[in-house]
Amino acid sequence: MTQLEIKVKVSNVAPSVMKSILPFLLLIDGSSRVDDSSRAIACGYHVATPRFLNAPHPTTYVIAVALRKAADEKCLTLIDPKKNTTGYHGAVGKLMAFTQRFERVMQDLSPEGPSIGLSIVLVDVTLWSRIVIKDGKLKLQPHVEGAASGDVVVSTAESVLAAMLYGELSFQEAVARGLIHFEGPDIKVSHVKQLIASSIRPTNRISSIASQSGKPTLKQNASVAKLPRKR
Amino acid sequence: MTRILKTAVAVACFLSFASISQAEEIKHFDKKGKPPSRHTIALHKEIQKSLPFNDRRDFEEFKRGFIAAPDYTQIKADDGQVAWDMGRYNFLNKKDAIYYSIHPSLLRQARLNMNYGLYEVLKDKIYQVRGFDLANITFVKGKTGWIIFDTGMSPETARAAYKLVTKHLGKREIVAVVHSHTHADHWGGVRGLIKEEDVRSGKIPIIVPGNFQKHVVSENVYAGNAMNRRMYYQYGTLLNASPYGHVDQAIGKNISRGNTGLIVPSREIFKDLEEITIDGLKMVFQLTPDTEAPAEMNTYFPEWKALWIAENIVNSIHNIYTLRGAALRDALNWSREINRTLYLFGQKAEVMFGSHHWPRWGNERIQEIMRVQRDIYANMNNQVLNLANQGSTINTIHNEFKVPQSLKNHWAARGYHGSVEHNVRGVVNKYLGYWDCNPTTLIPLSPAESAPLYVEMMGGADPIIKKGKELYTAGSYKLAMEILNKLVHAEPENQEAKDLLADVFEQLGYQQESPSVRNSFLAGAFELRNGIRQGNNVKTAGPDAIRAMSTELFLEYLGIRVDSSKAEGMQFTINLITPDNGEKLVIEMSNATLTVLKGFQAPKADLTITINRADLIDVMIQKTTLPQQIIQGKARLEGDPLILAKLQSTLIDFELNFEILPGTKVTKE
Repeated sequence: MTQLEIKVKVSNVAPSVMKSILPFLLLIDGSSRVDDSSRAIACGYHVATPRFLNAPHPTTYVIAVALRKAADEKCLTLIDPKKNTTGYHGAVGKLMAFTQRFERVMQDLSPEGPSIGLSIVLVDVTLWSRIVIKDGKLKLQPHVEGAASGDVVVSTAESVLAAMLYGELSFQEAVARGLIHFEGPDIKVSHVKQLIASSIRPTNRISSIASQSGKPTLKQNASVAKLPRKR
Repeated sequence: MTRILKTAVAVACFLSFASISQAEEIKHFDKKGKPPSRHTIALHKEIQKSLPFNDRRDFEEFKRGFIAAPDYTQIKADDGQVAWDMGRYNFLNKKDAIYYSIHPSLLRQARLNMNYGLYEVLKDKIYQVRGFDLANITFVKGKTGWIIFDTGMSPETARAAYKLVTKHLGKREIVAVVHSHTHADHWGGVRGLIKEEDVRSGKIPIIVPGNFQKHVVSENVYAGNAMNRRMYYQYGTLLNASPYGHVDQAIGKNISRGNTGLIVPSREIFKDLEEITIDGLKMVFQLTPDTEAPAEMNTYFPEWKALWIAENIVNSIHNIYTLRGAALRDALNWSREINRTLYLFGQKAEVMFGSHHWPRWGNERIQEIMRVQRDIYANMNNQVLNLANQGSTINTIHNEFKVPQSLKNHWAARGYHGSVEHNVRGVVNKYLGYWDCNPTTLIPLSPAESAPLYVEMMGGADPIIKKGKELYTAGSYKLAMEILNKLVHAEPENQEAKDLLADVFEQLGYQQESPSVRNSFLAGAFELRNGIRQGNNVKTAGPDAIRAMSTELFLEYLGIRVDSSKAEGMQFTINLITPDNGEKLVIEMSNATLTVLKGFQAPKADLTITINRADLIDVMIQKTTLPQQIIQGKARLEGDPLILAKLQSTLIDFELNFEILPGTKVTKE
């Protein structure tokens, strides 16, 4: 397996610049390990020719309808594919940010929790990724072939992920609106839901850490960069 | 022996040796490949004596009017790959070289198809660029600009042709385009010549035979994947250009590999005969439906006594049955339409030119060619039915039907594109179907099921291979093929058996006059030896072609993608509405079968999808996905969206490289 563990010092980068380069930097940020070995051939970003009725997961159409409804009701800002310049890297960046939040929350909630695999599919961009939680550590494998056997399958959209990260949308509302779906054994699903719910809860923990250490790490900077509402 | 005779014999021996040695300079591209056997060489020498090689009129016509050839042989596609490469066939330019791995008649045709460059057909009026694609690109002079007849298959080659014309004849705008028929080598290059907005604005008309749009893609959709796979065989698309491989494609050198495009035509001809004047030039269009294509037309230029014969007449027997797979053609109707053209225009025309090969000049020559072509199609139809009415079957007709001697001796009635053998089986199939009326063949076992018993009864693999080698050595290739084919089906992993069958296929391939049949044997030999070859296939369904597909056709193709075993027990109804073109369709899944009906809606559908046809096209051409269109608000779902997931779960994606011959599913780069 190829593990990308390159550390980048970006402490002097302005927050506005940081936001635009964030997705790319997160891809090589070693703060959460990125396993790039199982890069799939067939994802929406790398294949220019997705096929008709080739949704990555059965819930895709349901989530697509829910996304439209949420956008129409002004509860969600959709990512416009025509204006989305960061593409694949942007999606992976959001997954990375999500993973980082998990990691923090896990340390708070259940550092010795069960080993869980999460197969996450972003249905709007047809991107499968996997987060493995083992011994209190997280490993993100972006761009995998599909759901791994035994995993909890989380299906949602890049827009939903962004909205939750930016504090525009609560986890509870995302679930209630059918914007995020879970599949797997109840106990595991419940654990994952708890993790996500805690991860995206608005918190000032990041800024307080930053103020304590003086020099923010990339991880902290990334999170800070994501806090403003995306328009 | 006199001194002169001795010298003549010595020269003849030298020439004979020189010919063989030239051929031997070229190595076989496959390390397992074999040279032509003594039986193949003997057969070819015999054929050399029996055919009218002293009739050189084709060669005179082929070079007549030559203006210039480009200083390159390769044309690159916009995506960087090679779209066209005449240089691959340079071995055919070696004057007088005889390749015994090529049927002498095919070698002759292959050399005639080496014409390459710009030619004048009618002084200061009609020009052709030949050898830039499978089909010719014809430039007809109007008062102010060019009227293009057929564009070739790729924009890249069409663009190069226009450049060549401009270089030698000066700059003239294109004022109109005529697509003679629905096959892609006649319209696929259009985007290399004109802009779509000029067609939409009415500046440049595109004129086509009636029902062009309907037929332009329909022939190739339902069985498209199988057709593409079979192209590896008929067109030898992955064979090396070599005396041991691909040498020709009968109606041209090969298929180009550019980015085929289609612009929606602006004028369809529906009248049987329709006179139109464009850019000061009077033209009479004659519809010839259900001939070489379902929609096709000839054009007569009365002021010039010039007849554009489209692809209705070529220097070959065409396909009644296309080995790639296509609807069977009607040989009698084809003959009838040629006859009609003969009586309408053929008796006054002074030049006849078409979308393949070279023109014919002089009315006598034109009538000769027209009658030969008319008669070969009518004869195949009539004599096959004559024999069928006496008991010949699809499994015997190719060994019983004989072309009349007078036609046999005419080069325009030789079976290049369509061999006589496979065409006459096609005629039987058209009228009587595939069954020979022997109950044994009505519901037979699959070859893999019956082969083991044959092998067991023949004493196992060893005696079959021994006998197969004996038959191969004796030149009894078809008998060898019979028994080795059984063994390969019974033991797909038996490489010795596969290699021996490949050797047999190869000699049979070398012996064929028709490139389509030759390529089929040689492609089979290659796959038996090496496994299925990977590589770029010809692109047949670019975005433009998909745009031309009706919604009904597209959905019916979905029905073909349904795996019935996955749809057992499913029952749902979907209404589809495309408001921008006012279409409504109902899709039903029942009894593990998907059906589509245009013009109706189910009263209580499980799901209703509303999407403009323009937005659906973006999904069809894979510019975006249906979920994205839903998210963006361009598609609206009412009802249960999971119905789409259910439908999706039944669909399979067809794999191009499915196995044709047993034990060949080994992929090699």
